[in-house]
Amino acid sequence: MNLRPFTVVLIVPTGVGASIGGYAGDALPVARAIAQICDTLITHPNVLNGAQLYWPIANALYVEGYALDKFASGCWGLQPVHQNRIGLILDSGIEPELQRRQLQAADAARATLGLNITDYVVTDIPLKVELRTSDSGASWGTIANPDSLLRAAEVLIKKARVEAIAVVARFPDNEDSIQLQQYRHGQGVDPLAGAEAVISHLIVKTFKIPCAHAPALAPLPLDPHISPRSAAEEIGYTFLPCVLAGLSRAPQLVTESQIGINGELPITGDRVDAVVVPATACGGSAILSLSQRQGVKIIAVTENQTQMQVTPEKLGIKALEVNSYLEALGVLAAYKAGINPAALRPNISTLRRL
Amino acid sequence: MTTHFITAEVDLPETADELHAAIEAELQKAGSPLRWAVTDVDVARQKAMVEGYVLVELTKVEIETSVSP
Repeated sequence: MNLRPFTVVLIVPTGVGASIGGYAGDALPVARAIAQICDTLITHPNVLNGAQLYWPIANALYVEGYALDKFASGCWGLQPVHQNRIGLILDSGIEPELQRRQLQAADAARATLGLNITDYVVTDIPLKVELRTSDSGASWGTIANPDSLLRAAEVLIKKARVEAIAVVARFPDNEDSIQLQQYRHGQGVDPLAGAEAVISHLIVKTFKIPCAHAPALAPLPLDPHISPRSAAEEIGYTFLPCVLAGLSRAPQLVTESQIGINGELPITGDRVDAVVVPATACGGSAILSLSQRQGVKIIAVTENQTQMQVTPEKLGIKALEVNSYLEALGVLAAYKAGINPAALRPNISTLRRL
Repeated sequence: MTTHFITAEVDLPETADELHAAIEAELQKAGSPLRWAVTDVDVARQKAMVEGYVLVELTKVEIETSVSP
């Protein structure tokens, strides 16, 4: 019997054009496969959200990026739950008909999935999403009215006592932009992803509550050449179902001062055994933190290319580079079994004398 | 409260842990770090290029300034 649960963190950074996971929840198959090997998988909405598509993974924890960074740095713990009471924030910049689509998606999740979505709030002024692409090629962005978002969240937390928050903000349609065309064809960078991350980070940082975001967009005209990697976002009026499903069982966030207060010990960063990340996107906060933890194996996947050029070597991070997620799965299985992956190769070096 | 996009160059220290602390310290000069990443490393110059967003609380003075005629 192995008393230590084998815990893996899977990261595919948002808005960096990852060839696997940079589109519509298209790293979800990777997460499902890794979850078969590990006891606990910790990953984030960008990996698990496929608009109307999602897959409940019993041993996976859905952790928003800011919370994941705090978890990795040892500041916050993760407390698994059976169900969260979810509140919904709708941007008042969303047209009435499009708002109704979001509310119907929430009602569908209540009736068809049994999720506990209790209340919604419309922001007091439009959030006004702003998109930008940086010199590095990453998509970034923000909202002009963060205080309005935070006021709405506060109402849900104080009046409705929600335990998780889903946000739907009106994003610019930019139907004719080259970036959007490339994205729909499975190329380039998701132009919305950076701003989405900032929106959820704002709520998680301020209220320490699970949060995830879905954009509201007008339906796009039919395109017969949509990439399978982007197709999940072409099949409905909202991107909200995956967010609600993820938040329904997202772990609660336990701050350093709360750890152990209720007698239940949360999952903390020292329980992580391995991290799987694209080889060129190792410059995020979570990777920098986890790479310094004793015993954490960093597995860098070269086949999952991104717009970044930040390899483990450039940062002085000790990592095992593998070509593909298929290979990463083998490495994880070896680690879990207590086998040095090098022992599975034909040539083994002789014992080193110090 | 406002959010601001920041780019910065940070000296590459010995360890990733030190780099994390150095980035947070650099971004703190502009506000409270919200989201950031190292987007490139200039190995020759030993510099890490960082992009990110910081949060800035509007002070009373700034609010008064913004609403004054």
